[in-house]
Amino acid sequence: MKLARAWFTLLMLSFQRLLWSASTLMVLVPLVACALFLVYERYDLGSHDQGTFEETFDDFSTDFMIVVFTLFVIPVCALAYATTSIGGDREDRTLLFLLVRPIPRWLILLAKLMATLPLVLGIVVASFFVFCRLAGPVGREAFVLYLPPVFYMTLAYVCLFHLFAVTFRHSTIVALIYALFMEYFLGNMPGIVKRIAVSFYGRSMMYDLGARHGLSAPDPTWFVPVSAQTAVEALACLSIGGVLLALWIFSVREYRDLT
Amino acid sequence: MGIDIAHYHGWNGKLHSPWWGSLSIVRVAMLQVFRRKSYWVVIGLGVLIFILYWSLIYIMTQFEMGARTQTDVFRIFGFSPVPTEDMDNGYVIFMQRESIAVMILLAFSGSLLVGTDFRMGSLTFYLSRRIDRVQYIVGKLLAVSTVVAMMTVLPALVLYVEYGLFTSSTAYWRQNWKLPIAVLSYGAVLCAVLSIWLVTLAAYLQRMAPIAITWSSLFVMCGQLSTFLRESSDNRDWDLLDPWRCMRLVGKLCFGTWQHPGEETRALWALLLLATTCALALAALVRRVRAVEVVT
Repeated sequence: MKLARAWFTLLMLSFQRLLWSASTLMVLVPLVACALFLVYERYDLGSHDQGTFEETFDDFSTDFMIVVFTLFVIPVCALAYATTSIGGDREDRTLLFLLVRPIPRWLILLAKLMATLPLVLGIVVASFFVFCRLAGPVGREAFVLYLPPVFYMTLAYVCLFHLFAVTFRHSTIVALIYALFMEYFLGNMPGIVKRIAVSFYGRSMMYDLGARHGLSAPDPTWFVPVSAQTAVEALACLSIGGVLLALWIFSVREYRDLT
Repeated sequence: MGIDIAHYHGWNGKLHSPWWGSLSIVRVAMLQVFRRKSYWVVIGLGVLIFILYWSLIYIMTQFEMGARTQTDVFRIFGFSPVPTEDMDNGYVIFMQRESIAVMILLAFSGSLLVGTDFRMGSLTFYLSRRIDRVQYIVGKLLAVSTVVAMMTVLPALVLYVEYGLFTSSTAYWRQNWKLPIAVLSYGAVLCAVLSIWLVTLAAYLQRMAPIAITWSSLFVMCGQLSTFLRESSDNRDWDLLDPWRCMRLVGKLCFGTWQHPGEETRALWALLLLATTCALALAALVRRVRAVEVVT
């Protein structure tokens, strides 16, 4: 019982520290920029030049959902909190005070993960809802369709960045290189190599789910998507595998930079 | 131990100008950057791009190829040794290609070079020495500028020298003497704008994660949104939303080649935009740099 109370206290403390941090304020910068873009671009049917619902849906999905939201907003939101939840304690040298408490290490990491996940999911899903509302009818259709890929991608990024945080000392650097360079680089390479990128599965899900509503298929020379079911399984495996590996590393690793 | 026993005494020699302190700040900053192994990964990305262009120039100048094939290969890599109406100065294009590595490196350097001074209290130490906050700010701006120049201007000039050397005559250098000036002017804009923005941002945000988020939003997302808006409205004025394009336009004011109609006017607007934001950022930075944290 005492352990559960300690765990819950740690979870709430971590949640509050993450919520009231400079990262929250700075995450608003890209989100506000996206909102302004959507207000100007107006994907509403009737006011948009393209005309038909399918064409407007295709524009919204290809330009905004896949390029901006999937490849930039989700990784950046995940990076803002997932790398600082445990990484912030390492950087501030307060991790030592957590590790000397009689709480198993894996529970500490789990508390950090549980504090981060609702925050990131909340911000990503809430902003996604607002963006879809701003986009009009195509946005409403897109919200229902693309919510699963957004959810699974966020989950995968949060788990992966926690793995980075327990593995690397400067996890923000590694996560940023991965999110902005490796994901983009690997995601645009021909062949099978792109299957190690999280965004590949998110995009595959979107292409699969959006095809019936007018989303045009990508050029098969560069991008051969997998089915939505396969993408869900891959992202779930990546998330669970990432968390388990992070828990194991955090439990056995001796950190020499705590003081 | 009493102070008399320690034989403390005033300095009797000739004191150097406090501006030398700025150079010391630059030297220490360089040591800090190059000491981190993780930074070498990003520097490695920049070096890879440089090696690609170096090899391209070597192949194009050393192997017998038809003029048409040579033009096609240069076009694939977006490199033009001589600027034309279709293609910009190839060395400037190379500097633009380095932008992602520069952007990531600066996102990390901001926290390391400036943010930690505020968080760990080093700023009070710096300002307790003979330097004023002006020298501190100039030192930090020079440090960031040095990082930018080492990743962009220096390799671009090396490529220019390489092309001239491999053509076995000085004709290329003599006929295209404006190219290095264009490179230097673009480099100067990059160094000035990036250093002022980064140092100000790092002085306020201090930690790596918020700096990285803001920095990448500014340079990656704004660029992407600017492209979409330009294509959907067929209006090139949206280029002004992208900081990289703004800097490129301002760089073109000195021996640049104009590719699109109205680009010169846009360059003047970009200059106004960058000058205003830099002035505001500098004012905010001067206000932020204080020896003592004022609590209100």
